[in-house]
Amino acid sequence: MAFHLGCLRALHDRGLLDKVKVVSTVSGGSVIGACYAYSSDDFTTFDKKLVELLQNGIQRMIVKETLLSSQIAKILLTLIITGLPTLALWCLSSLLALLRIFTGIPTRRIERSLATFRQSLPILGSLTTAFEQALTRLFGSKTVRDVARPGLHVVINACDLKTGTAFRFGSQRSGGWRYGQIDGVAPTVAKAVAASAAFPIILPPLIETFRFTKAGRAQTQTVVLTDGGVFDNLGVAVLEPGRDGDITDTYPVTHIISLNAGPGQLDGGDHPFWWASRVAKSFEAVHRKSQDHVYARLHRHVETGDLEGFGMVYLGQQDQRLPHRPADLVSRDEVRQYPTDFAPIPAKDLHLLVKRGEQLTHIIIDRYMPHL
Amino acid sequence: MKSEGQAWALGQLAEIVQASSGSLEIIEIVEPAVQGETASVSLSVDCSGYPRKEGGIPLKARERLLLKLPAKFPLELPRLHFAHKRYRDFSHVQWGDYICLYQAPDSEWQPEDGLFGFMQRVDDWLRAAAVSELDPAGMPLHPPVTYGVSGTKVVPTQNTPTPEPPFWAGYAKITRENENRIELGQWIEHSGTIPDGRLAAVVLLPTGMPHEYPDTLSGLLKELKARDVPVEIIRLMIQLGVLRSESGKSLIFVLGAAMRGIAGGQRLQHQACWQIDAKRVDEIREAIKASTDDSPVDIADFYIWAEKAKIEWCGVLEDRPEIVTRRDAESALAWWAGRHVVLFGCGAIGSAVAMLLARAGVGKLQLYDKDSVKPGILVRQLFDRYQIGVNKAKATAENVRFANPSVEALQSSADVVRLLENTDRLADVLAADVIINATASTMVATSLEKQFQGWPKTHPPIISMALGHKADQALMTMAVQDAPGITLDIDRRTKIALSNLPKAKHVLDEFWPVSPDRTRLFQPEPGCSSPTFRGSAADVMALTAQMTNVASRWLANPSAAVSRARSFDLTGQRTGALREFEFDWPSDVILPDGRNDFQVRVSQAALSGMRSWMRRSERVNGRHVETGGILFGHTDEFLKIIWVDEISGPPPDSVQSAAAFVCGTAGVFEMNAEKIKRTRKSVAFVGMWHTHPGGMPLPSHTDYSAMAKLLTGDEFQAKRFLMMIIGADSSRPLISGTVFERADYQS
Repeated sequence: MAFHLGCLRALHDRGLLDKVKVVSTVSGGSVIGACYAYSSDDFTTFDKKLVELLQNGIQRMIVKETLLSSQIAKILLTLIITGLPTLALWCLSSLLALLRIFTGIPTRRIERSLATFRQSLPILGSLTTAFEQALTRLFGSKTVRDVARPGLHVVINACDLKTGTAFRFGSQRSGGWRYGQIDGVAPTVAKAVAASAAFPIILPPLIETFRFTKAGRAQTQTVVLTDGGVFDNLGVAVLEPGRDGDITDTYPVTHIISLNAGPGQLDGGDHPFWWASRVAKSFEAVHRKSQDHVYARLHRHVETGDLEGFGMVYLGQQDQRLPHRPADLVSRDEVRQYPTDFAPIPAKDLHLLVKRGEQLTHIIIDRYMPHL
Repeated sequence: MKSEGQAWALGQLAEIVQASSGSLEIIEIVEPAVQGETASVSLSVDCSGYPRKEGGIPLKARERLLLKLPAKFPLELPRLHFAHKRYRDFSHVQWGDYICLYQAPDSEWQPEDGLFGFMQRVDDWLRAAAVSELDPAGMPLHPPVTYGVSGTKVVPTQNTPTPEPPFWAGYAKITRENENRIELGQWIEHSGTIPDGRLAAVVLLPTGMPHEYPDTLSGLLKELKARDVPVEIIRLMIQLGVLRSESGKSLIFVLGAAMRGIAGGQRLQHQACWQIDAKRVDEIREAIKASTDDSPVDIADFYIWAEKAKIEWCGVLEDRPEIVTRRDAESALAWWAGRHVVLFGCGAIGSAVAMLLARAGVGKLQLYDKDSVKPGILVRQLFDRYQIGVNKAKATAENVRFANPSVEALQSSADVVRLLENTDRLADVLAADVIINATASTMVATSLEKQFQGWPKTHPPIISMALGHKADQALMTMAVQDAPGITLDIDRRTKIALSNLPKAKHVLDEFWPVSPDRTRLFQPEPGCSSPTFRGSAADVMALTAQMTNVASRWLANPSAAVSRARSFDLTGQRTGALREFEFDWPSDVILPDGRNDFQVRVSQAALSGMRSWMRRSERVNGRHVETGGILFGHTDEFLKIIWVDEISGPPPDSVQSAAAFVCGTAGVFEMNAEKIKRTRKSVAFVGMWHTHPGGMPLPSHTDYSAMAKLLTGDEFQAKRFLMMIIGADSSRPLISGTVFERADYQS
């Protein structure tokens, strides 16, 4: 978020922020994106409030919401009536599976019934719902339609784990292509941001039931929403040229500026042997590859003229590959290890991250979009 | 002796008859006696089921048709006739009984369908004929037919007058003729002033004629009489025409009838032309000469001739704008029709562009080239061998007139550089709708730049075209009046833009090479000829045609203050990224330098960069603290232009306060080196900028002192220094540019 703040400062100074037509956000970027889009504050006030938020950290707000509200009761209740039975049922299913394998007794139908039952157990609260509650303090009851900046469209990207498809909360419409559009009152900004930023390694998914309309037919469905970065780590899918607007959300744009606070190349120092580390690294590798593909595609769109310009402002950018390096450049090594965990951020780190964001944005726009 | 095709057709016919349940019967089949002859089939068709409408062909309940199958069927079409001539007055029935089934057999006839397809077409024709829908509303009418016997072709080129009832009589001027064709120009009413030169006699009817024109004079006179055209008028028109013909020349008699156009729409004149042979023309002339008031032998002669004369109808090749829709009407090149174009250079590109524009119907073409046609260029320039030694502009003008005589083609062998310095001749050039610079000459580019350096400037769009050294790449730019710079300036911008794109290296290498192997130039006649490119006529034509098309689109969608550039690529790579690039630039900010008379062109990108640093300073340091940075660009000492293309913000060691901005130097050397390397020396340090928040953009005492110190010391090596000052604030900046010369401080 601090890196993004620096990028927004540079865009503001260049007079570009007011020209932005679509903000499409993913993961942690959804927090700052929503802070900007759903507030009518002038830039100085927005900047000041965001610095305060960064210095205080959202982590504290989540902890406070978890411990000092009804969330703790809901979470405990979920652990008791859903968590423990789920564990028991899972063990039972496993035993039946073993029995089936070694004795040939046909238990598969029972296993399936147990699995269905397990999945129907209620989720009353989780760390993610606490996160949503904390975000409600920031965004109040505003819905995703209540964009405060004139002419700006917002898309907050999440991913539905049930169907493995994108699920988007937008100022124009919300939903996913497998379900259709959400009917009635639009979801709140807090819910959209919580879903979009529910990084699956740390936070459980947000389970929500909405009423959808698809091809003229209404239906109620429950979705399992996680971090939008799982599906589209850059949130640019809705902006890419050549997509079929009848099937999915599209926002035709002339230029795309991607603000990415990812750390960049892995340094290769780890030895991920055990389950947790190897799964985490595998997830990261797939993620990185998918991101590279998207970047390559966006560059290609510029080469073929489908897009007028694409600027990639990337915290983890290798400094030696920048068009030029200002004498006071905040180097990649100074900031890349900073965790994106919403913890309170020390003044020094804040300064460095913001400055790098600001510097890289100027460098990229100077070179690749000088006429903007 | 049926051929294979005929046997196939007859087999198909038998199948159709069998499936028709009596609707189609074969009456008789006459097979060819010898191989190669036509097979004839007499058919009876049930027409009782076709709906009828007034005006349609009144088909009998059963019609007898005669089908003629050629030996080369299906590569030759069958012919179909009515067995009688009762329907001869209907359009689409010719020679009395021939049924005109196909308008364009080459595209409509499908050999693989054989007789199945043919009989389907017959069914469609009979159905449409019965309800008079052979010319459906909105579709072109089937023109009447004359069975031409003369080999002469007549080409009417101007729209005909609209005849008032009962007729229009007069003449058409014969403008050009040779053994192939006679071209008709202006139409002159018989009561009007008759110009000199050969004339054709003309009668135009406001009504129609029979669908088939008579082939005897007596038959024609009868039809005309029925349309209230007295025979005397015809005689007089013919006689006057004869008197305006030289001995030994034929006479053309034009008969117009209102039978052209779209069904349901306005009827235009269809023209049929009768050629009266030279011998008869001479006889008529003799009779006129021998005629007196008492003995009008010419009249007797006419009527005796008219009794028995056959009519030799000529082929008419339409060129009237009201009839012929230009085939290029919806193409990009349609923009050039009627335009006034100046073309500098009639070489590879110029000679080709001129011919493309001539065919596009350009109105006036002013051609300039100081060189003459040499044998070596014939392989790729549009000149003919007989033009060797002729000035290229003259040869091009000749070719243009040959292709399209209506183009006003003017030529000059003047040197373009000198021409631009002559006020009167410059005015001639500026009167054009567009100037095309196809010289690829840096002298011409510099001269154009100098000529149009003043601001504001006045000139039509100037398009420059150039080919790469192997004629597989091309570069085109367009300068407009409200944006600074002509060829040289836009080439420079293009170079910088390309240098920012990693994928555009091949274009940069082509037009701004740094590789040592490109320094050796191609001289086709070693030692004696100018260096040129290698490439064929196909290369040149392909790239020139592409450039002309794109130029047409640019001109058709003008943007007054945007200059443009586009690269073209024919290197044959069909995979990978797009290899062509197009750029446009909004107008610069032009600052006059009052001190040393330079013109400073500040790009919008540079201005936008400076404003963003001002906004940052206002946000971070408040509205009273000065900020600034470095200016990068290029100085042309001859043209006295300084371009500012890129800028930087304050180097980190700068000192910023409300009283002054002391620009730091940290990282400036590296920044400068990067820009020089990337842009291949087109962008480098030219000066500095700073702000006077809330103040006027004028150099202060501090600024003058700083300049004096800088330019008298040894640390700063350059000859001059551009100081840009931005006053007021970032939302309404006031800008000035002042050039300080080292020489000013040394005198």
